[in-house]
Amino acid sequence: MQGVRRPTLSEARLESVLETAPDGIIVMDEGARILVFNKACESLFGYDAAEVIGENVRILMPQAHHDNHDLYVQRYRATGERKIIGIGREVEGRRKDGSIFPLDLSVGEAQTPNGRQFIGVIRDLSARRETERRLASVQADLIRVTRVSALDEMGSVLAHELNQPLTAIMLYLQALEREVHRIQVTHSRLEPRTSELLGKATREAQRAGSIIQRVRQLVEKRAPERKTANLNVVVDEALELAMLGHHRSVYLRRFGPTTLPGVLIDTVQIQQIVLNLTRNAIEACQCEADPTVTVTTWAEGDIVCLSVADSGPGIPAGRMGTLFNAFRSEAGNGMGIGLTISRAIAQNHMGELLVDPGGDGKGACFTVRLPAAADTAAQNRDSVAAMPMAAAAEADKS
Amino acid sequence: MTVHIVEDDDGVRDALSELCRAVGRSVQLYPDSEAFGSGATVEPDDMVLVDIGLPGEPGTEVVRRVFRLPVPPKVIVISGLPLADIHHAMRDFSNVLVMRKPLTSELLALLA
Repeated sequence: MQGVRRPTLSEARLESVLETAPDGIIVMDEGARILVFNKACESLFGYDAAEVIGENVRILMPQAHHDNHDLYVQRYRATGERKIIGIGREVEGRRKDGSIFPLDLSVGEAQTPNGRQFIGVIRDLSARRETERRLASVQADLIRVTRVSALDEMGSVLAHELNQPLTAIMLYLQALEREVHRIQVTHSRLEPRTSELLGKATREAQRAGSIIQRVRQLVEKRAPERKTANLNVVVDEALELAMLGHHRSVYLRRFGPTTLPGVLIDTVQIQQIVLNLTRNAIEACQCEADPTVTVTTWAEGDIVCLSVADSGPGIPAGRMGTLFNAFRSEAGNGMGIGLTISRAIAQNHMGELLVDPGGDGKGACFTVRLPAAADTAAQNRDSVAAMPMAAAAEADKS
Repeated sequence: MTVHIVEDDDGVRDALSELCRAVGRSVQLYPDSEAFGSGATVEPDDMVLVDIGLPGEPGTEVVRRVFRLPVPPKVIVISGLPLADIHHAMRDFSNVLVMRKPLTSELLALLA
């Protein structure tokens, strides 16, 4: 173009427009050969203008579109039916390095002394796509968080709604027991079977009651409250909840000494950790042969430890970096959020949550380490901490 | 001695009345605080069992009414509400026995 003659004023203007335009501009002839490839195109596609001028425009498209593009051009020339010209659409471009990127393409047409030419204006959509992708990901995270809190809410409502009929059942059973007792006394007739069955029914109703109680304790919003507790008891109670619905599919092994130093903890928060780690462990190994979750408690000097290990495949190295990131849950079940909260709880207790990723046939193992309470008399396993309200009722009665 | 039961849940109210009858107590049943307010005649040796989570006027109104009597009878509050809500609802009352649902045999011991 240059060197033959001085460019005219309008040619100079055009040149300047092409060079300074922020969008990519390509001009091609009827044979789809590239005539103009501006500066912006060079940085978009990674080609120098000299490399592509004279080439078929297909060079800038992914392989899959090569043949189609020729067909498009042929069809337009034959029918004059506009599919893109004057309309513009989103297509894919291919850089010199082979990478594909989304772009917005508008095409115009010009009749010139040298025949029909097509002008393409190109805008890179990579950044917009990335923003959209991130937005979608944030939305998905938000939905996940909402779902977790909706589940909490539902657990709370369910616990309350089930509690009413359960209360009635337990009262009826107590009334029935009195009735049977009265019949036995007035008619001097013993009803050992009836009493035995009633006793069994009452025990089962109480078991349902204690499960509801535990669900309620876990999901109720409440101020944190620290007291010295026996980690064994706290863990066993949480495991009962965590294993609900998994007793048949996953084998739970529980190891621990009968006595442990006391820990000054918010029992509900620590139970949340146990519940979370155990649920994750179940999820990690339930597709394996002989899925096993091993929960161990032990003391190391002034530290009381709890570990939850699974027989799953371990945590891939690539996931370790984001494992505790609240919003990077590949499992898609809020695991990331759970681990983040678990670690925060452990740290609030002056403790820590450690992870051994396993791998090579070894499952993952999470360990919570908590400082023993200062006035640490070893507590044995039977000293179940009384429910606060039951304790209040006891106090009131006396 | 009559046990006055103020409870909106039909099942729980009926079950409470059955248990009271089983231990030989007569009962008066009220589905809400308003019914108790307009219909109850309470003697000093009676007992009032009231759920604080009632529709309409809260159960604490029943407690207030009872406490205004010259010789108030024994009041037991029952509730399935979260602990924090119970504490909040009962903040004006000390010395009232609160029992959380599901009710254990403790209640039976108090009735007998």
